[in-house]
Amino acid sequence: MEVASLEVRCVQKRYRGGVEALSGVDLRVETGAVVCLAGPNGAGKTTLLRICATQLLPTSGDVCLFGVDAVRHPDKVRDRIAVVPQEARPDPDRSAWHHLYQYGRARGLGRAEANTRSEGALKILDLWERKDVITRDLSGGLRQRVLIGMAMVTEAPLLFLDEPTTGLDPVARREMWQVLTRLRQQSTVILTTHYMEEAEVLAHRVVILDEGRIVADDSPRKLVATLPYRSKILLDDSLDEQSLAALSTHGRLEELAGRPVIYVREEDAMTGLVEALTARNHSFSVSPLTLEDYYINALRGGK
Amino acid sequence: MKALAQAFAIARFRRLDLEWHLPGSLIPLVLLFIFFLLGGMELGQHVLVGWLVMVGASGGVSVLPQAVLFYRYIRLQEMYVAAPIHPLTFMMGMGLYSLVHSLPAWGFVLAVMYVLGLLPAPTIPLVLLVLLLAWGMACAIGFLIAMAVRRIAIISVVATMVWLLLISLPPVLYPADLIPETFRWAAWLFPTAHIAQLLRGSLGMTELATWEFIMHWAVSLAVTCGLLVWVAARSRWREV
Repeated sequence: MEVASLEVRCVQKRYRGGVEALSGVDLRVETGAVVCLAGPNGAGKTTLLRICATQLLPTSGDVCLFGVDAVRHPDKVRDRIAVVPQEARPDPDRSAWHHLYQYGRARGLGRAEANTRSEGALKILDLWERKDVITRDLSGGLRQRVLIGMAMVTEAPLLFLDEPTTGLDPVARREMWQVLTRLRQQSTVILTTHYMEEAEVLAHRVVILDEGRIVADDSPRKLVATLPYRSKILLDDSLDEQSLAALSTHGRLEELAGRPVIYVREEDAMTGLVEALTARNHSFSVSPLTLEDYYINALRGGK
Repeated sequence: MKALAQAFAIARFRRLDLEWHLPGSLIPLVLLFIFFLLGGMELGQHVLVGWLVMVGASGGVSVLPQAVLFYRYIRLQEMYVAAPIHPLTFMMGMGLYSLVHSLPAWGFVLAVMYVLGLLPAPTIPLVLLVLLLAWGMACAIGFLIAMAVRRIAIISVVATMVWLLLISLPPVLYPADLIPETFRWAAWLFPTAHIAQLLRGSLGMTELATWEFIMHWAVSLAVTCGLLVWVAARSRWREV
């Protein structure tokens, strides 16, 4: 069997205050995979990522990186990993070039190699033209790219990215997705996110954590396929209760930001519902189910 | 060699705050003027010696913990932890960063002393050695502050207060003889007083017996090593 990039066995983490952040997590990540850790705030995503990235000791359990025990021998694996921590920011007084080059040098790269790699990464990140601009004068998205560039310059086969797109506007987030798509060609990537759309686009596998446990672990497509519904219909918020009650016989009625939504189980019900809505001249829109629907469903215990 | 190159890269990562450091380095000028008026060069030379200690302490005690906390604040330290960088290499890098802040003022004061004939050429190697010791001790205190203070908002206040305490209270900028004999023992509780006394002894400003030399060296080294061991034992590169 091929050695996994990451193997986590029965990892438990209890902080000094008594808070149990992880309660027996098992995870295996094959080389070349992009795994997204999702879950609500406090679910243990960052704790798990930091333990895997040798930044934090687990209370118990094993973590192996490339077959090496990373809990007992972190020094033997640190040259093969890189991390971009949550809420990290570049030094505002230094340029993008400086960040990449000096971080490369700090990790032990020679001058020539640090130069070549920094140039390559900055070009991929579309930062080459602004390589000498201090990061204070860059946008939030570009600053985040500088941090990703620091990870890229290491050419580490395993990257840990903790919420790399949090705080970015939709355009910057999509640009970052392009960058992350490039990254996954050269490294195994483990990232955390709150955006299910992001997980759906980027990840081969999504691991959902809740209260320190893994509650779901599969490809986005397979997770969505496990839902008992086929699609959802967003209704007009002007519908009265009587109409809603009549329509709810076609599926499960929910409310999304004040707007009624019906989750439909089968195609027949869908057809019936569309016909009923059209007959009553109600406006509506049909959407396919997404990972976000799965996520909400999973965290509610499928209620 | 590789570790040294890594340490230099860590030291070079952050921009130097020399302009911020400059006003503090010039404080002794006022004292030098007053002491010179009161006691001529006989008293003024003590300010120059204290100035050297003060500058070294400023780099380690004040600049270093602020830089460490800044790295922690922007999460760069976490990127260093998850990298093939030994904690001692990181400490060396931060120490070098602080040392660079002391070099301009040290160069200036040493040049002034040389011109005034207070720095005989044969004493220069010994003086430089003592200054290195001062830097090492200041770094150890700086790491201790960085370990104890977690809030970036107050680190500069704490570091500056410790620095002022180590410089203004003990006989660093003034000779120990000015302290009444009853309280003189208290002066030696401050490690900076030993460094200043070593410098005075090395420069021939104060007659020091061999045992006194050994004692000041021993105390200074013990404090430096003790603090470094304490910091190494208490601080965690990987969090628990």
